[in-house]
Amino acid sequence: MTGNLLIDSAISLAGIAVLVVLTRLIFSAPPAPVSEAGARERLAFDEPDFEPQFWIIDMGGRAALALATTGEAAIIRRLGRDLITRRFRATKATIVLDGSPAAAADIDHLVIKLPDHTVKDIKIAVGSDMTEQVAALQRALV
Amino acid sequence: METPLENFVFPNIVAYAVPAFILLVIIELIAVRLTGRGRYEAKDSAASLFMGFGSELAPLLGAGAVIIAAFTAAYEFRLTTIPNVWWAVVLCFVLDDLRYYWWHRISHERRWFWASHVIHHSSQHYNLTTALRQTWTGQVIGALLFKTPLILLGFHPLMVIFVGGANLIYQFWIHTELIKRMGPFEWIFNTPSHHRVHHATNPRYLDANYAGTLIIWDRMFGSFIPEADEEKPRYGIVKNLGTFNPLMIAFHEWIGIVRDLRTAKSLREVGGYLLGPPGWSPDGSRLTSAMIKERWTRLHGGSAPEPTTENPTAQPAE
Repeated sequence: MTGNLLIDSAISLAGIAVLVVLTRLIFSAPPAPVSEAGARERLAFDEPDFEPQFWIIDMGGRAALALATTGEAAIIRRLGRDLITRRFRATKATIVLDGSPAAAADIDHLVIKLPDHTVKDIKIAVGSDMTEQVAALQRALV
Repeated sequence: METPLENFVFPNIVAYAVPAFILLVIIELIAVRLTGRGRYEAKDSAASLFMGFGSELAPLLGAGAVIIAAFTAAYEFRLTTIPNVWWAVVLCFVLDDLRYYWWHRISHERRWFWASHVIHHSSQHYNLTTALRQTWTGQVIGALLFKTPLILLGFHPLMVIFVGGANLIYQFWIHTELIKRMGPFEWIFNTPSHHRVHHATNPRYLDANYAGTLIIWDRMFGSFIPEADEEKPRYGIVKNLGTFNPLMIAFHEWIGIVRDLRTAKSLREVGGYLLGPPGWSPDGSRLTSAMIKERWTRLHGGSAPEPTTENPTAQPAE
């Protein structure tokens, strides 16, 4: 363009900003919350041989945790409008259940830390209707 | 009579194409909104565009100088001198497209090269901004290994760079969901339909359609899979990233390689982590594309669709 790297870079970044703002304006609907149905569908695509038995759905719609009787777990997390999946053995991840003593009914959120540098820690706010599922998670972690 | 082009200066066509890229992105944004054919997301597009911006800066950090020096030196050892005439440009384009096919195929089949190429596939969206999601790494080795042979054959380095740029420009418009099928054009050329298959992570579509401009190479070398109406492509990578952070997008696979190498217990494992297929692990605990296809076959019975060399029946153009 101008031959000056700094000016050309500034022009390029300004052009990027314009396109991003346009995209934001044209596609402004907020992403849908993560539901069990949506998470199940995504999990079935990414991990078709994973058979979930229990689901823990984040009350804020950010993520879902699936548990299988094999001791495996899968997290389905929202990334923008899309979902990503990570499958792992429940005992291989660090899962922090907030609320001591460890009575399932007292757990109000859990934090999942995976040994995966491409995914940040995932926090799931647990509703009072998830006691059975949380108890299943506690058993899986033993 | 051939027209000599000794004074022909090959333009930086990629730079000239940028305004057209911007205009087409805006047109696609509006068309996708109106038709519902395709998807856009601001954060994803921002990441893609910033990766493209970074890919243009990367050569300025030294890669460009290395490539130019290597090309200049290689030209001194050329087998013959191919004149700068129009038919040579055409021939160079075709051979460079063949070069592109094999570089691209190896970039999917060998982790070292995949670590650079994965950036381009890391979006779960498929639109014109995806076309601009380009790698920040791998340009030097890619150029030295795969483009130098053309120069040793006798093509002028500027011609090789020019046709490479033309090839990249051709591939911009095929990154869209707006265009369905294109009839007989698809027998010869790479098209949005063919390239949607390439970007898909559906097991039936994995590792197929590596073409740049000419799909004939995939038909010739057995890596062609047509898009099936009953199975809509889902885009991204097998293990989609959990971030839009450009630094993580650019370097995540390299970080993964380093972490794996730290655990390697033998030279075989080092070789596997570096040059094995993406997803390779010594204990088989991770999945390569072949394993993903095999799992699909096992779960669905029968055999997974294999790449074909046969020409499809012409699809009606839409």
